[in-house]
Amino acid sequence: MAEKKKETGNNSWFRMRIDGIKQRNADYKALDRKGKAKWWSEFLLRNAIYIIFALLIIYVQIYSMTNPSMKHAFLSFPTLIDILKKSSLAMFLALGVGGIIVLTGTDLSAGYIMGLSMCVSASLLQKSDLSTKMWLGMEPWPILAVIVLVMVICGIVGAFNGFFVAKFKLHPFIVTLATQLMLSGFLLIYMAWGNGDGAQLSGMTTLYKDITKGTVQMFGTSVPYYVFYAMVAVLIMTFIWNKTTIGKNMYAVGANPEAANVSGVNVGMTIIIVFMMAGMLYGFSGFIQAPFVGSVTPNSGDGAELDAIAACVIGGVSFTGGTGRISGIVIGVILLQIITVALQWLGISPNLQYIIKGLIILVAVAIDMRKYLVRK
Amino acid sequence: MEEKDKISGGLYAKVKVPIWALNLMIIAGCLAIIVLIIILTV
Repeated sequence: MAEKKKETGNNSWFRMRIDGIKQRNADYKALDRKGKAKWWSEFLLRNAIYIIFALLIIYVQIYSMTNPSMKHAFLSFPTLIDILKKSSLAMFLALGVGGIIVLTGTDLSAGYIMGLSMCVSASLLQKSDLSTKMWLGMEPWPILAVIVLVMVICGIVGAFNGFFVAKFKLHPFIVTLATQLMLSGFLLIYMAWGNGDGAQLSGMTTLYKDITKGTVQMFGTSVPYYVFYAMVAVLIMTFIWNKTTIGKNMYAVGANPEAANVSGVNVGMTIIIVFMMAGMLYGFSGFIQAPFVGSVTPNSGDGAELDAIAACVIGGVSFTGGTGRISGIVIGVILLQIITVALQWLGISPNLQYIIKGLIILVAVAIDMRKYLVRK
Repeated sequence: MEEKDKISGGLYAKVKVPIWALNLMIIAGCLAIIVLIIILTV
């Protein structure tokens, strides 16, 4: 019975989609020549950023196929896996920041909260026999305990941000900037505690490295575990955003906090919970990233938030609030990694890559603002 | 609306940008990206 109901639900969903496409086709056909030209210009402007990405991918593909020094074409399995790996690492931060952007906020402390998690994870999971170990004489903690600890700590820092935004009506930009500064100072102090030299942490346990960097063989290539962790995080966040009260409240608060308040939504608590969830995601991200860095420094997470915010903007999470989907964030993260990899393939210097990325973000924000003004 | 303006810093609500200017900015930005990539690789 339940299966039949599910099948009927899926069918109706598909039918609705197909009907929608048919309706749009009919509307387009009904337009006159001027109307069609306007429709196309609107389509091109709305999707300018995706068209740029498509053109860039085609260009890099042709470049890689015609250039004999390239080992394989750009659109090949190894490159796609490479993009997937990089996207997975960046995914957690973007999922966290995305929720805050839906609330018309931003989080400048994301990178340093992740850095905090990296430092705490690395300091508690150093090998026992390491002479430069931070906490001499202390055995490495159980992995699960460290994951819980860093997620709780980072969740508290996130809630701290949310508290000041919700209760004192301070702008998230300023609150998170203050947190970023405080965390950078705290991390410098933390790294000098115990036997720490204040500079870096290395020599993490093999189990820790295996759990994060370990791989599984799939389709003739090795896929790291953290790709699956990112997939799980995406599924959980999709569920939270779409199926839970807090997710629905988040959209309501982002779109119009006053209306949400009148409707009985606890605006303050929603903001605090969204910030706390973001903090927990940064915490898990830091746990995953520490073994990659190898030697963790107090500035390891510096600047990571900017890529996450850029990915959200590219993925259609609007700074006007109340708009954005997890699928958009996933696409944004993947597109940002595609452009990074594509520019590397073209041999463009890293300095110039920043300029191109900056231009892409500027165009993405302009498209976002245009959508808002058109709607208004 | 005022409440929202406070939270978002009034970033969008107070902006009075004509849409044609944004269209121009998007087109110029896209062209700049394309030209820059082509110049740097050819």
